[in-house]
Amino acid sequence: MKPGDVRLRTVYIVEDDAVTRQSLCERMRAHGGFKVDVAVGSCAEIRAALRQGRPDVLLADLGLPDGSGLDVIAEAATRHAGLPIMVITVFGDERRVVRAIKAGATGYLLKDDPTHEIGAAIQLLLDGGSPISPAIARHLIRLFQPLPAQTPAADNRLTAREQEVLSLAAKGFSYAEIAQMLALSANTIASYTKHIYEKLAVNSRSEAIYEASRLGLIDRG
Amino acid sequence: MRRRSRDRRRFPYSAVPGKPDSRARPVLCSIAGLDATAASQSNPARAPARVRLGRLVLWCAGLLAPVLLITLLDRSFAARGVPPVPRIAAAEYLDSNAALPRELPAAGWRHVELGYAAAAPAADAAASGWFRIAFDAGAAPAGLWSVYLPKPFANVALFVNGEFVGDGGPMAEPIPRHRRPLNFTFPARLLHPGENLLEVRVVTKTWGPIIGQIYVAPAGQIAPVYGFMQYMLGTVKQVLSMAMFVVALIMAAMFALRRREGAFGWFSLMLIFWGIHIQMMEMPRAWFDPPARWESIQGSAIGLYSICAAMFILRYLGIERPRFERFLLGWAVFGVGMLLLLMGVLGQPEPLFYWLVWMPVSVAIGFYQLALLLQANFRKPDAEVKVLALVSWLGSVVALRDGLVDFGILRGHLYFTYMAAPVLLVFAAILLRRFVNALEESERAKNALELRVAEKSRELELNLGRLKDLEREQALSAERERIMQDMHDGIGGQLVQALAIASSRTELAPIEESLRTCLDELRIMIDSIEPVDGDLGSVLGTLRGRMSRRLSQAGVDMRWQVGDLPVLPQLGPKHVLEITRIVQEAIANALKHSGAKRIGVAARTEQGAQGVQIVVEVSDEGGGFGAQRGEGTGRGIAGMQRRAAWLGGRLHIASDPSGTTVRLELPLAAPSKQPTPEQALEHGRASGAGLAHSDLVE
Repeated sequence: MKPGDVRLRTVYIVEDDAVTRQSLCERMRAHGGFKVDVAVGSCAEIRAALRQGRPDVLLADLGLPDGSGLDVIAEAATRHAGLPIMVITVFGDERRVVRAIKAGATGYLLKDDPTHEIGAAIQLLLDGGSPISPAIARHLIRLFQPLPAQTPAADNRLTAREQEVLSLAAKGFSYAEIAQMLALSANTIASYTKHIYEKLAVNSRSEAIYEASRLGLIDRG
Repeated sequence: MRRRSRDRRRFPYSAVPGKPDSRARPVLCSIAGLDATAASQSNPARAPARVRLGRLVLWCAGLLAPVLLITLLDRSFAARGVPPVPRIAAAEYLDSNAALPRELPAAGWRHVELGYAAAAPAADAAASGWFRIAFDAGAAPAGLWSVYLPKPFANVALFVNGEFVGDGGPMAEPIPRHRRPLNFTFPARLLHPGENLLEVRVVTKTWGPIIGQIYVAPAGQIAPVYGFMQYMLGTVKQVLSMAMFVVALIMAAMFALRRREGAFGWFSLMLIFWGIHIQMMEMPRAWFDPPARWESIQGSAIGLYSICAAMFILRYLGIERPRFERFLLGWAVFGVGMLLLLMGVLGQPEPLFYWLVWMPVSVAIGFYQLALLLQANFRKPDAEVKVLALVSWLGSVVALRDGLVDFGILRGHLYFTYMAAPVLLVFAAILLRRFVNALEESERAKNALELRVAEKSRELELNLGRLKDLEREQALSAERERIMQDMHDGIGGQLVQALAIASSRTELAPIEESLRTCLDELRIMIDSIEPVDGDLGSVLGTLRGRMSRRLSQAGVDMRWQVGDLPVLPQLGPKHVLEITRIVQEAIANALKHSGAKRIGVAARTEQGAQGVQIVVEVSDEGGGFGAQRGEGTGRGIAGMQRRAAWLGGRLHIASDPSGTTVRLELPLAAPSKQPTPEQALEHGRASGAGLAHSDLVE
């Protein structure tokens, strides 16, 4: 957080474990750039909060006592278009993260990330970028491969540049290193990642619609 | 003057079995070898000259076949059917109802020529007369003698020198008719040397009193001829007509079983009418009188035969001409009605209707049938149709010739009945061919079916196998997911909680570090069980991500040089974990002991001694082992060696004061000949460990 930036970024947190939630709030405060307006432990509470206002960032745990964090993420993404949403996980494992991205998240945090890393990650999001790990990059490469099946995902393909970024990220290169290799800025690379996430979310939605119509759950007539 | 003989046999048409076309005749066409004929459908216009010449020759042969056939039969009859003795050329004739020679008057006799054309004076219906013939028996007649009449037509009674030698049946009505030869044998003692007298009583109701040719000779000279003629005119015709009835029965049965096969039904009827005609014609004595009634049925039968033949050809060719068919059937009813009325009821022996309408129309139908066959063949050349057309042509010409013989224009025997032989043969051949084709077709179908079943069951097995694999994978994946979930919510969550508590209190700082390491270890384990799609680069990358915090805390720069690596399909969780552990250990050693500010990780493919291998190198610019060999380092290295050996690879550690390089070599082929862990351990101890040890001692 730049010192000149006086406006504090509002943060909503939904995390069912009280200790972790508390710890996150403390780290937020410690960072100094964020103001935690809402820190709750259930779907119902965060839904209510999201109906009433729009934060700058939403941090969402997945396993909530009264529902899935994925639904919260999807709802928030629909209600507040463009809202940076981060999924909080213990492992940052690709399954959970990719599922959250499909629902509409654009970033992820580890529950034990130190203060400065949390701050950097949120700042990346606010600057229009997204973080990525090699495992997630690998997973995304597979997801965006043209499928033999007749899924509608293909109408939202990756650009050559995006594929390049993904493939380098999958090999473990950092944004800075990728930026150097491709002669671009690190921010640009981060924004590519965000675009990729958004495409994935769009594809997942159309896939869901396709699946639903295929199963006869909705009428596309 | 010439007078036509009164044999009413006329066959102005041919009989031809045929084959139905696609629409109206199921078995005949579906079983048929139509595919075989399709192959012969080349365009005649484009055929090479030799082929065209060959076709021309065949057509000419077909055209001339009737002439050839008639000539052959004529020759055969001439050679074996005529006694080797001079026939009696002339006689004296007298109309008389006398029963015995002695009742005959001496006067009133007139001279007549004998032979086919030799006709007695025209007579009314019931005629009776006597021929008186003088013949020379030679100087000393001995043994047995014969009087031979090849075709007397009328019934006869013979007297030699006034002695009765035999007759052709009762002289009462219905009077027998003789189309076959009569032969009367008598002892030579009835004869005088020199001239003798033969008196023949002729009784007939149908024809005039004619006896045709007559021979008197020793029995030995007549017997073979008589036998041959009996055989040709009697046995053969009887056998043929019986064969017709049998085939007709079979066809009728087939028709009864397969009603769609109209052709079978018509063919059966055709044979029945033809057979009835032959039987009625050949029967020496009618069952009832007057002969005109008999003849009306016989004449109806032959006309109906021609109509059935035409219907059969229509069905066989699959030609739909409903109006023509209606005409045929209407004509049959009308014609038969007229014949029964005129001949049967009114008793006209030879009504004009029969000669001028009924028979000519039958002739026309026969030729129409031939035209249909030829047309079908030209439209779509077909061997079967060609053969049928040939038989039809043969029959037409023979029938025409028989007609001319009947009229007395030509001389000779009547051959049309023999046409039953080719007709039956051809039809049998066609049926046989179709039967064989049907068998082969069903065999082919059966084989194809078996092949398809085998193929399908193979596919099914394969699919089942895939399904099982998928199910297993899915089960594994579900299990993994469950464990992950448990770890995430359970131990992971607890660790995070503990970490949060520990980090909030400065006195718990050592525990915090330990908890963080726990969490990192757990994450590395979790990473290893994720499917990696054979991507070693991302395995290393993930490890880098996990270690980045420690690296940055230690203020160490990472030089990351992971190039494009081939996909390693066998890269399973165990491999991933082993590789990760080796690299992690190497990085940890570098962090702990080298004091280096820069650590490099590189992965690439190289051409090694045993083929292409993947090389992963961790290098630092620290002081090497020699300077800062710490406790536990040796044990750590031994563990790395063991892991490398399990992977089927080698680990080299080179350490000198300028830095340390840990080099892991993984042969590309290794995953496919993955040694068992035990073997790998042996291998590791034998080579890798030894090598490492020497490096370490250095």
